[in-house]
Amino acid sequence: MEHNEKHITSYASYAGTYLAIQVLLIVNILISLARPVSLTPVFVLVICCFQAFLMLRNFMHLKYDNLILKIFVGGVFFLFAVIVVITLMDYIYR
Amino acid sequence: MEHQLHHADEHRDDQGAKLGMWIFLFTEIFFFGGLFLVYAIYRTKYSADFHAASLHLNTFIGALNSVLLLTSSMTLSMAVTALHRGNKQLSLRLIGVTILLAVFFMANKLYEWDHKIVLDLYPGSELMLSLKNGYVLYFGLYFFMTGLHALHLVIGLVLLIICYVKVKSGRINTDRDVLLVNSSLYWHLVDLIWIFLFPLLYLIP
Repeated sequence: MEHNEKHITSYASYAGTYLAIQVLLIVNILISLARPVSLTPVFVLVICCFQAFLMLRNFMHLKYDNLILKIFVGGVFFLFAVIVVITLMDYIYR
Repeated sequence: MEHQLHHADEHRDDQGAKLGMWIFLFTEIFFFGGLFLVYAIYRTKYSADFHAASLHLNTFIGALNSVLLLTSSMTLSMAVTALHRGNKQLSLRLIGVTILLAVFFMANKLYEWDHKIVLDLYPGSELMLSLKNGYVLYFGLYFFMTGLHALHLVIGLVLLIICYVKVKSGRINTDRDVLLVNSSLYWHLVDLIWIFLFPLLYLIP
């Protein structure tokens, strides 16, 4: 038995997502070359997170997936963020 | 003579297969995430050495590889759409383009590794043994992380070739698409990892 509710994403939607990610890539390269502020690495990583969000939402179809999967994926990234913060705090304040 | 009626309901759970693929991807996120964390800590500790070592990498090649991978993600997503719309030929062409882009990525990566090896900038080389710890760690992590990423890319490439053959033979079709959908999820994750790998190794000052 099969229960499939396929959402067919349009080619234009994929092209739009692709362009947005490419623009963010160019911005990232320009920021890292110009290095306008001392917090450049933070800006670069924030832009990467935007790119990853677009990739997960549109290319990996999370936008159209069921809620439980969205919660799972969000939970995994949250858990990873917690591990990063705890490890870095341990390293910095030890 | 007794005729036995065989009634075979096909047991399929595409949603379960997709959830299983996501759970596998979660393990991959933590696997590479751990490496990113190791990189972040050593980057903090040997900031100057890491910066100096990163100048040996060619940002243009890294950026070109980013463009290649991002484009391949788009073409593979479009291949899934083409299959769902019943356009088998377009789907095949788009999977073929994705495979070609992946091969270009690997060729670029091999060129880059070869260049580093010619310059003696690889773990265990005589030059590397004479350099500071920060350099050794940077190039160790560079080869390990990009190597592991490339291994994932090769696995993805094999999956895409299998998908190409199965789409061509009709074993993957509009109704039976789970292998292509899961392969594309895997491929996007490989791209997602590169989205972070590229700035960490090539861009961040």
